[in-house]
Amino acid sequence: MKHLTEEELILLYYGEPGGRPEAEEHLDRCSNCYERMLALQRLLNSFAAPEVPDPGPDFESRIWQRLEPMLEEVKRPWWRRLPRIVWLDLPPKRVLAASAAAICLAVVAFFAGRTVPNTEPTPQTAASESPVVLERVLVLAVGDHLERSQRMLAELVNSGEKDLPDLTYERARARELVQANRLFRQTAAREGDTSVASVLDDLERVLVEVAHAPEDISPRQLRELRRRIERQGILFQVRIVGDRLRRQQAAQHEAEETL
Amino acid sequence: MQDSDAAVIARAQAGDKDAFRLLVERYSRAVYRLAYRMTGNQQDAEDIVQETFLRAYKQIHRYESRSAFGTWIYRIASNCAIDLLCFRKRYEADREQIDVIDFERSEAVAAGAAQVPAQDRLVYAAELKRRVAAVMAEMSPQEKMAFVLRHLEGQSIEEIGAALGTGPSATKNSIFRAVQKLRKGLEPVMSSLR
Repeated sequence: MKHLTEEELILLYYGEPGGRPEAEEHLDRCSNCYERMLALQRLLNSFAAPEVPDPGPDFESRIWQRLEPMLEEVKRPWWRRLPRIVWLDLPPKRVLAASAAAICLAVVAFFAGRTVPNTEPTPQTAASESPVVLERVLVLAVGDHLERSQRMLAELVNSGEKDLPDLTYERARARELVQANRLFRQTAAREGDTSVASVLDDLERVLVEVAHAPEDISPRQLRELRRRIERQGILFQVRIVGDRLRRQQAAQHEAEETL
Repeated sequence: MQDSDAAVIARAQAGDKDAFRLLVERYSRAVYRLAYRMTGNQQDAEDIVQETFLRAYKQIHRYESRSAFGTWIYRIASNCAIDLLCFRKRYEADREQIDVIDFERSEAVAAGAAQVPAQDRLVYAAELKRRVAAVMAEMSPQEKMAFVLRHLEGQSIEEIGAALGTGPSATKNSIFRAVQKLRKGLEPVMSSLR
């Protein structure tokens, strides 16, 4: 009989079937294979499982608290996940008055901005003078951006097969998010945060795809779009980076409070 | 009396959120343990648990009782862990390599340390640790998962295949490649002690 292969030795070590039936017998007779088996045993016996730290007695309820709001999002039909338009609840006269007030405010702000000399440094200058401020602003803004992108993509992925969404709203949101994403990605790259920059890069591709999806999307096209989003695991990646930024933000906040 | 898994799953499939919570309570620690062994990091492990049950909730209507619920949830958890490792490998290559091996309890460290002078023991342990970290980083997420499930969780090839969604020969190949990488990476250190 030929010497045992490394694969056969590994199967023997783990007591798995699949090797030649006479393999064990061969091992008893062949000193070469026996030595190789001993070396493999020495190698594999050296790996002990690490102690898994106890996540605490409240682990299950902690997980449930994190999970429950996400499950609510999954359950609600897509049209209920749209942000509520509060104005629809107001009487028409009030809607008109509020619209007029908003327009007036915008006009006043525009002319004030043009006539009053600007002595304040531009945000870019201020930020470049203070990396701490820039980092804090970036963490906050990117965290918020990721949350909004995640919500939009989750709605798209979770919308039921039967209630085919009209993508007008998603496309408009995706277009806005692409603009913001581009800015954050460039800033993150400039600041040397490569992991955030790379996730934003991937996210941008998905957002662009949603922004350019056909308005009258067919069920098949929608299924393919969802599959592509799911296959890229972008939602999970966004959640991981979002969580990291939230922790970073909490740590910054805590550090400020202790000062 | 505690409801059987089958009864709880049927209720969860009918949209009963409390029933799904029961499943989270029953299986989240097992998922956490696997996730921790894959990542060596408590925060990452909790993220994987959360993602696993989120995916399970979305797909619960697809679950059929042909396989045990534990196997099904392990499969989802394995995918989540692989996704996370791929993500780390791709975006956070500079992140400090985590330990999935317990060096305090490692026979290699104990056996090797006994053969080297006391002043060299720390150097030996550090070198071994560095090499294991390098080998682990070189393994693909699938290889690492197959190795952790086989070697640390004691699962059979069949169970690992069910968790990874691969056939027996692909599963075996993942384990073979993982062990071969370990051997190639560690043999120089271990043979120097003989």
